[in-house]
Amino acid sequence: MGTQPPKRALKFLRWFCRPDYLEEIEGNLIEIFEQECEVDPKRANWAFFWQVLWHFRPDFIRPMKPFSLLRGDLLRHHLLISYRGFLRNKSTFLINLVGLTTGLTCVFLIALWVNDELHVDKFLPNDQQLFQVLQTVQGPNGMETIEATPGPLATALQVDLPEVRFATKVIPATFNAGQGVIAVEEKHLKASGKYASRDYFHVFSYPLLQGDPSQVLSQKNGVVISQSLAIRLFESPANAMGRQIDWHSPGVSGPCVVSGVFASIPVNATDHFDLVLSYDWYLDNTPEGGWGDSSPRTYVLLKAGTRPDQFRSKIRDFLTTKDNHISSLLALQRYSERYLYDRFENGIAVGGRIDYIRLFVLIGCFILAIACINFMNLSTAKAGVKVKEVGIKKVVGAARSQLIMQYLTESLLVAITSFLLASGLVAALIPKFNEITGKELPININQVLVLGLLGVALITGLVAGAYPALFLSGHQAIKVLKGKLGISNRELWIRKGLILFQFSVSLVLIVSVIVVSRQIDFIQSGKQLGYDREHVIYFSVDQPGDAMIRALENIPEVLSVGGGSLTAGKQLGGTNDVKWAGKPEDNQTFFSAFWLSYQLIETLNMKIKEGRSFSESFGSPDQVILNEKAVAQMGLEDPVGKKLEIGGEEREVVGVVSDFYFESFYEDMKPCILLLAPMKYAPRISVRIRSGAEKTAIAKMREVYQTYYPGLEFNFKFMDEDFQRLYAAENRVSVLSRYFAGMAIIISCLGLFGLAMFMADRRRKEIGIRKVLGSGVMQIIAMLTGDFTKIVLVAILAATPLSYWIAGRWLNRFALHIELRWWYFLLPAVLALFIAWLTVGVQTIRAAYVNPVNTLKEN
Amino acid sequence: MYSRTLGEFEEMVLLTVAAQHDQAYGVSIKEALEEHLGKSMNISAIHVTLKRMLEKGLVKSRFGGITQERGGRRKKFYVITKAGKLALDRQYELRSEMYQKIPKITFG
Repeated sequence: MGTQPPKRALKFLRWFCRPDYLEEIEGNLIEIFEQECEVDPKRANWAFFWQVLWHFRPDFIRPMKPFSLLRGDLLRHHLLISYRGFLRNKSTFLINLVGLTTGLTCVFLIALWVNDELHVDKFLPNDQQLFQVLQTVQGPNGMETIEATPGPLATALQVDLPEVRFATKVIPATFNAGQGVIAVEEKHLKASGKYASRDYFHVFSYPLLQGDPSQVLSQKNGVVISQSLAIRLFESPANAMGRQIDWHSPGVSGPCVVSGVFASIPVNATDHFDLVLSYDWYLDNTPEGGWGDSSPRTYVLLKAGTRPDQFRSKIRDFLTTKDNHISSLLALQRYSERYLYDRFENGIAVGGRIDYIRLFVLIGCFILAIACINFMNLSTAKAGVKVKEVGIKKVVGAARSQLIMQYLTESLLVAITSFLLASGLVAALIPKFNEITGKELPININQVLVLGLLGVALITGLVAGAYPALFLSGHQAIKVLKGKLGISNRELWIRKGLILFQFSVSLVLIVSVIVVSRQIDFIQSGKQLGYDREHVIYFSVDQPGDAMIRALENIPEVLSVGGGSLTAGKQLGGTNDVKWAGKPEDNQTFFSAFWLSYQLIETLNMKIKEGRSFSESFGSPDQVILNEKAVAQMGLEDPVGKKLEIGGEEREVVGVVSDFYFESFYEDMKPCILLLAPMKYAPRISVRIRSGAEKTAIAKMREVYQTYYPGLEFNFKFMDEDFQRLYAAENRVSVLSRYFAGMAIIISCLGLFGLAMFMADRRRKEIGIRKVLGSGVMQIIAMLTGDFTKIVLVAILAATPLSYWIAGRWLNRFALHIELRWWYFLLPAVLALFIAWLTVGVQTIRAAYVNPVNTLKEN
Repeated sequence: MYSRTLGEFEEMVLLTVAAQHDQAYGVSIKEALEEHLGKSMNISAIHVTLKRMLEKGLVKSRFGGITQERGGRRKKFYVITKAGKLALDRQYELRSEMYQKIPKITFG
């Protein structure tokens, strides 16, 4: 029989089997194999494999010495050698250490941030079943998903669909009516409250310290307050029960009774509020509207075991079944996912903050890769020196595995040291980092995270050490000791390739930083807004009288006083219940609606395109102003003077304003209608102040405010600050990316610096000879710099198209964005080249000026 | 003296070793067992049992000569020791003692 048992299985057997049993087992297995081969060779092969595997058990596994490579004495030797190596090559060691520490610090910070982001809103016990119902409406540019839903929806869902355990509708605390003042006896406190229907605390399982979830919101005048509010007002939660508080807000005011107390909301929640009031109470002043109107948010708690996908498709057309004039669709999203996925396309969540998380994870990986590359480059560059050591050790009898272990020990040692240093640095940087990110890290540090980070550090050490370890230990002792070691082309290519990679990544990062910060600046400059929000403050009022308005206008520093406000970025209510002459049947345009009063358009310097602004001199209050988008959507020609029916009431179009941005720049201009509200119903007042006189103006306004609202605090906001808050995420990304790009560049330069130092050192003799033969300093500098210049140039060529593509993609997400300019790409390129020269230059110049006699005298 | 009773498989292997006096080795034991029990055996189980019995002193082993078969590997032959024989005897005594205690009833 010519058949042989499978070699690999045999090899495996020989590897693990204890020697005193190997021959017996091997012999028996082969005998069985030979027998079976006569019947079915293929099966025999498999059986052999299988049998070998069966023998892989403690009885036959030889006493493994996995730690023989790490035996105490050897380990001590490795450590000693590493330590001496560090002492001998202080600069390399420091470069490695600094590089790796910086890299790990970045990665740790990113990891902490990502970990925190991923935990936002995930604290509710019933998180898995808690969903928000969203509405997808037909916007001017395709489908648009909004939070506002029809008022009757929550109840209908609970009644009609068996999957729904509880449903609730909520007027969020960010609405006008949600910002108010609590008065208890003599105490006045500003607070934000939401209005929610009965089952709110069933749907959101915030723990209740006092009260029963099914009871707390059953009374119209019941209010559930937060733990901290209870303590501030009544000393303790238990004490608060049944006490009366007075609530004043622009929409709702009156006495109510504490019916429950909820535990403080964790920091990593998106939704913060101090009290929950009854939805029915809210309805007293604001009629709910029908299926076509939208304002409350709708949340449902699904029964355990309900498949969200099935439920989603089930409710898709729910609105149409209720009212066949409505074409908007319902969408469903897990409440805790809203934070990370808030960007919708055609009713499906496609991204949002998660994009930034992915981006930063990517940046973290790149930074770590750059740091690893430094380590590899420097270690292999020193090969010439180290390889002799390897030769001697091999001659004396060291196995390759021991040498590999030695180098890995070295790199792991650096990695662990860096890990410790980085942990210290992170601890020191956390306050600053929190300031930038607006978080309260570390709140979620757990063992898993710490172990994970340590794991990252160790893997980094292994990866960084693997190439040098394999490369150095692989040399043949004889060749090395004969001095025949040449640096092969392949090695040079690898090294150059690694630098190329480093620089390309750094370049892409720099370009991204420039583009991101330009775009953010552009957004925040507000030039494209359509109105002027500089020097405008606004504050909440409750039925302001004429006298107060006059008093405000009489302040010399105040330029203009308008009733109402435009709040940046808040998705306000709206309606598609707008009728006009010649409206096509299928036109379901959703109009955002703003209630504003006299003078606001002037205060904000909005441009009137046609007609006029709201004016008291024209008596009728049934006036409406459209923006250009709305006019276009309606297809009206000559709109001024036309009558519209909005929510059943007829109003006359008195003017058209040019389009303005009131929502995020991610979205296009939207059609909107500005409705005239009598001054005394204006929930807020906006005031334009003469620039430079803010302080005095505010002081005087506070006086006026307090004469009309005694005992209340004058709380105002600058309109442009609102915008900064709106783009807080982008701002943070912009600042963070600046830091991280800086770090990446520093690490790359460190590597380049080390390599240049080394190259200059190795070519000392060559330089000496060249100088003796008449070469000038400049020529030598050019020669030494040329190599690196070429690499950086190639990196520029590689990085430019890549960064162009990335930047373009990012910008396209904004409806309004800057154009890419050529200098965004040229500047980083020049910068990179300049930095490279600077880094290499110091070394080269030093090398070039060395007296050749000194270098040539050696040997 | 070995005081523990033998496990079932252990007993089978030991019996086979005793029966094939001085000629018992892994494959021959496997074949014998397969023949008697009528099912296929996994050789690794036999190896383990042999190893454990060797460690307990129930069997002893010696290597055979090198032959052309089995890729030139020597066979390892097992022979039952005195202790092994004693253990078997005890096992049988115990069994028959207990068997005797079954009352003479006809099962039908």
